[in-house]
Amino acid sequence: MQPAVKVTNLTKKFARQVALDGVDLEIPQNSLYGLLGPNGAGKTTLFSIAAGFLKPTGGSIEVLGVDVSRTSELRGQLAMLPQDAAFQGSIPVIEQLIMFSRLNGLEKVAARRAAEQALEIVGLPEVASKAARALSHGMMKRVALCQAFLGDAKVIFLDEPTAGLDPDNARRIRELVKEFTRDKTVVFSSHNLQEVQDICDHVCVIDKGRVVESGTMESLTGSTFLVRIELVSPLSPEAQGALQALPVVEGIELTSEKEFNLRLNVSGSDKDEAMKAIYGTLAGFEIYPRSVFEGASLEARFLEMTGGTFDGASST
Amino acid sequence: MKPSTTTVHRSWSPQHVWLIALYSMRFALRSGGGLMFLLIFLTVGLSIASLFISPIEKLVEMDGLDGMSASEISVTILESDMVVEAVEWITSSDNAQSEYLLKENPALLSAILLILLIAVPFTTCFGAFNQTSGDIASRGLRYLLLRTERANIFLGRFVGVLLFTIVSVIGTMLVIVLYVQFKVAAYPGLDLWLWGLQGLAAVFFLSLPYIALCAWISCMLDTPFGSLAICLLISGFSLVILYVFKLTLIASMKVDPESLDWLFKTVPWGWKYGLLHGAPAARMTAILAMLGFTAVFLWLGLRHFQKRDL
Repeated sequence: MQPAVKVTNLTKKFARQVALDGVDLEIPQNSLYGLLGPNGAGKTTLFSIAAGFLKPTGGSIEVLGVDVSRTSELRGQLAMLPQDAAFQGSIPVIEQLIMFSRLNGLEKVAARRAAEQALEIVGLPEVASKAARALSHGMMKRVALCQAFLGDAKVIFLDEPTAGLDPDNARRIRELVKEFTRDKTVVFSSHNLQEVQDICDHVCVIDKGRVVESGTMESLTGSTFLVRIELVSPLSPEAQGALQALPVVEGIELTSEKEFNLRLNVSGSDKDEAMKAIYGTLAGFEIYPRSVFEGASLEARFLEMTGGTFDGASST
Repeated sequence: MKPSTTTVHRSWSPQHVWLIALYSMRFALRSGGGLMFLLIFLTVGLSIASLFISPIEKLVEMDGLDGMSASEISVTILESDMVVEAVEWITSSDNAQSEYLLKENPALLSAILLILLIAVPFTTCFGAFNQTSGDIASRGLRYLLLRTERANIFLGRFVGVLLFTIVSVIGTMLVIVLYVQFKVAAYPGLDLWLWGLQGLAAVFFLSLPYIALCAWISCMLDTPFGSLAICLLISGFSLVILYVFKLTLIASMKVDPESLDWLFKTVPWGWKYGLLHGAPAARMTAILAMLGFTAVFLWLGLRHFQKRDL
């Protein structure tokens, strides 16, 4: 199957600074693809070239087999939530959305209907006649997301859609992304690694303008083989021994008094049975899990790959 | 409700240009920027008109308007130093042209139009400086870039400002002509309106290259204020440079000043009086020059807009 997005040897220089340095990437169709990287890694530059805002110094990006410089061929098939792009402050939101819809190819009446529907999707039908400058930051972000939902785009780029939002607004946006992007390819950049781990099925880590690693979330975090368990009470040595004795457990690593990692010796389909055995063993010692995570923390993998600190790790 | 998609790649679409022009015009009105421009254009136009009309009114009052016929009032106007001197100063080297402006057409309107043409490049800058620079700065243009070609955005904004300028010029000319017709009552209505229409066309053609120049400058700069400053500077400063250059040539090479008149033809401003010329060939040449300048500025602007990062 042809990839939804194909990036070939993409390079972008701003004066002497190299923002992207020979990036090669293939984003599969219908995937929820997370793009990660520290500040200044080149994520927004990559998005901006994909959307035609910036001209590449070298290389190319194809979306659905069409070079992104040919905007009119991609009309209606490529949408994006750009980072920090402002709506016209004094113009009612609905009028701006209608204009976008008309540029997407809809007639006046259909464009109004599409704009109203998109506002309903993001839960903001009441702001239609309000000027953009009258909206809060969270509302503005949802309106910006709503313009990305106009039409029937097959590929949607979302550049840090939850950045700067309070937890409630960030959760709403995550839910919207999950709900309204089925059968679409979504490329999602975020500073919130847990968020990316939760909603994306593929991930690419960029650092200093280069792809450090890319692949499925499972392959990056080892989620089939690794389980992190946080307990309500400390893990006793007896319970640890009992877990170690289970045939499905290959190794155990205590990360704190109440938290440990288990490396499993199973294939994907046997994982449920393995988890039953683990829960049963813990219950036998009257130890109960507070939370269970599959795979290593993406943050840990990310730090390992980029070899440094991640300044956005604490965001929502 | 699926959008129509095209399979043929086209670099621009007249439909999108028109759509962007209409919306940019509407948004300019709603945001206040357009109204400000309209106000500036009206203020400049009416101030120039009042400069000539007020003394005439006083003159007519002194002579007793009630007992005078239209032709007598127009003679009074022709005897008005201000109107005659303004027209003759501007057309100093061309008696036939003075005759055409003062005697064959309503002299009062001719004087107003001649001075208005001097101001047009500067007033145009106030309406055209922010075609793209503001949206480049706020990155608002990015929502359009996802949906249409760069050429459509650039040309659409240009056409939008052009339409708005036409509306402003029509509004200004309408007020001036109506004022002259009813307040001074010196000319037959048809003559006045026909001459007003030609004046309207002259103002429109002169504003064309300046709107295109502003489109070019606006797409080069990421700040609307910077764009306005540069547009005004180029429109005005180029004339100062040419004037100084002309004086230097006259002083150093002892050449006849009239033989250096072509210097000002290197900018659109130098062709402005040709747009009101009595000879159709001269008028046509001036119009072609305006269209030529417009095409060059638009081409330069479009080339830059196509290549730059937005």
